[in-house]
Amino acid sequence: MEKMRLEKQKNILFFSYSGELTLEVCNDLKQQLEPLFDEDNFSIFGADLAETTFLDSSGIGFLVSLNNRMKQAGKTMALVTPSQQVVKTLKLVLLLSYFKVVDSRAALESLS
Amino acid sequence: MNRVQRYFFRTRATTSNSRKLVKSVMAVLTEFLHDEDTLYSLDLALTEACFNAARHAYDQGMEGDVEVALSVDCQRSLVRFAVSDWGRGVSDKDDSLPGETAVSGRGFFIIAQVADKVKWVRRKNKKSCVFSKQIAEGLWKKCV
Repeated sequence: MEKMRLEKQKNILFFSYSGELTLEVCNDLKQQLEPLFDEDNFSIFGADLAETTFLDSSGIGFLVSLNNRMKQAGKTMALVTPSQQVVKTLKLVLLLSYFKVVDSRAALESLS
Repeated sequence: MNRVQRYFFRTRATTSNSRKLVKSVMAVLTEFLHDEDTLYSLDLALTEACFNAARHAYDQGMEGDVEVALSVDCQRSLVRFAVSDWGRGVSDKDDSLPGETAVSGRGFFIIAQVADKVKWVRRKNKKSCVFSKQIAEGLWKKCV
């Protein structure tokens, strides 16, 4: 079952998602996250995708859109410990190096 | 002796039905192949093709089906999918890779990257995206 979580730690907002990040869920997720773009109480957005079991082109579009929006808002976004499946999909579309990727939540702090 | 196994799956073309359909197809394919990496790639390509049918084949308010025909050819070490709809078909079959900041348009690129061959077939009002992949000999679990 798909599940989204948001957690705030200092200036970092963690988004984690378990399950399949696909066309089925991306529109709902976008709507849920939309209010965040106006918030100024975080400067780093960490997308924890360790439990994301499948990523399709809509899921890619969702991540790219988040990255674009965070950049526009002057914030930094990084993927945190992406699963093998997420890495495989992003490699396939040559986007793995486009995203900042960190291997732990603690490593996000160094981005600030 | 005919060594091609054929399976047919069909459902209403909604996003949620389409993903369930793909999972049914992959459950069958998992009986033949054991390589997780190959299975994931095929799952991804098939999902793109089925979601595309669910999103674009039928105009709003118009309902229709999506069908997957799976062929497993053990003799030729080949897996083939035909994803069909009875709607307006796909007008934009561009499989080039969009720019890094693009938020859509990577579906056909993924199919083209995963598959060895992709073709579009139209028979009367049935439109199909047909793609196949050669599977290395060591990746087969069973071949009857």
